[in-house]
Amino acid sequence: MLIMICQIAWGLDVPKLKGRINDYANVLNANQIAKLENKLALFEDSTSNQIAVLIIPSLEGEDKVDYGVKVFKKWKLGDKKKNNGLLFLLAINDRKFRIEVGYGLEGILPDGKLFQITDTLIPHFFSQKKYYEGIDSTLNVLTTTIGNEYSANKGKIFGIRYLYVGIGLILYFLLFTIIGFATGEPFLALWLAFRILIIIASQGKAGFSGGGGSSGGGGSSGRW
Amino acid sequence: MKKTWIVLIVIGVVVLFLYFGIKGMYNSMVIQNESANAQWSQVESQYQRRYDLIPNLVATVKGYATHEQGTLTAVIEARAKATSITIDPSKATAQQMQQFQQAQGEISSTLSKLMVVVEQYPDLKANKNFLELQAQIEGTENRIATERQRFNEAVQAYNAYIKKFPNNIFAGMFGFSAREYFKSEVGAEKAPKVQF
Repeated sequence: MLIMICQIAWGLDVPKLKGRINDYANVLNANQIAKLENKLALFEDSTSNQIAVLIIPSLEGEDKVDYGVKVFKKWKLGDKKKNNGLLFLLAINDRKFRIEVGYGLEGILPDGKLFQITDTLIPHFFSQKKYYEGIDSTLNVLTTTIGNEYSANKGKIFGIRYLYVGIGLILYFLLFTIIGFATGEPFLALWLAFRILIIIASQGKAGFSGGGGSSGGGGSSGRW
Repeated sequence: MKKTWIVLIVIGVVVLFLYFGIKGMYNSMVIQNESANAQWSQVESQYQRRYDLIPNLVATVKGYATHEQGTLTAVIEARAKATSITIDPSKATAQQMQQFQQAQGEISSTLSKLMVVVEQYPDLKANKNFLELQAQIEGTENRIATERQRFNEAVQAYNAYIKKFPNNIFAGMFGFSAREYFKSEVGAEKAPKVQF
């Protein structure tokens, strides 16, 4: 127990969450990453489940389960209330994998079922270094199995967000209009307003981030 | 007259400060204590999950490993002993915690020996049912480890809060005392992480 705590305190760092596919071992090309990202983005949009893949060269001695738990805790995959996140971790040089399942997905993806899935797919593809095919097939089975366990988060939340943005924009332009008339240069003011808005908008990151979900150490792991 | 008013107002403000200060302190202690209790329930439910898996595992192994009755019996007995120990986590003494942990450690240890024994039975090792159970037990051990760690974190937050100044002065008055942690398992080996 003490050893485990030490490992977690000083072990391998959790890399940054770049997107749904985090290939830190460079085994996938840009095209493959894009396809997988789309698949997972679509899945999240229609079902609210957040799946992320992390590929690292090596665990550097850290236990794959401990590391999986650590990454999941930092990335917080899944909706805060539903806890429907899933982490697919691959350590290429170590030839080890870990699927960490959020609390909310433990029902539809219990350990036994996960084992059935990974036992057939993982060694078959990964022993031949067919990483893209392996990840793609595994994700296909996982998304199909999860299916409609959860439904999308749409509607009310998005509506409110657009409302706030709309109000914000109106006030923003109103402010610049007032400044414009006050200084006698209304058109210059509006032109400035647009330019500033474009700069701000391009800084923003429309990226992927965890929804606040958590996991409890459940899942499946193994090697190939 | 005016002086009396000022004094009264000052006293009033001080009383208000004390009230809100103490209220905040007490409520924080309550919340953190309950958080540790809730986390304990998580730990218990994972131990329960392990209890529930064992009969199935024993039945599966029995069919193949006909000469390993001793090892199987050890698992069954360890489980029976552990299920008979219940503790109230908010009041458990160091000794009670140790007893509980030791009982759980016994289960881990007997399971570990069983997994070693199983190595000698290739038919059993290839049995789908058994492999699934093995995966489930591994998953349960992982969950137990995770929830225990979270329990320790919750207890640590609580203990730190009631021990620091000035909270420590009031903690005793309110009836809050330091809680026990899960310590590293005394004596027993952990079940091995099964490598496929």
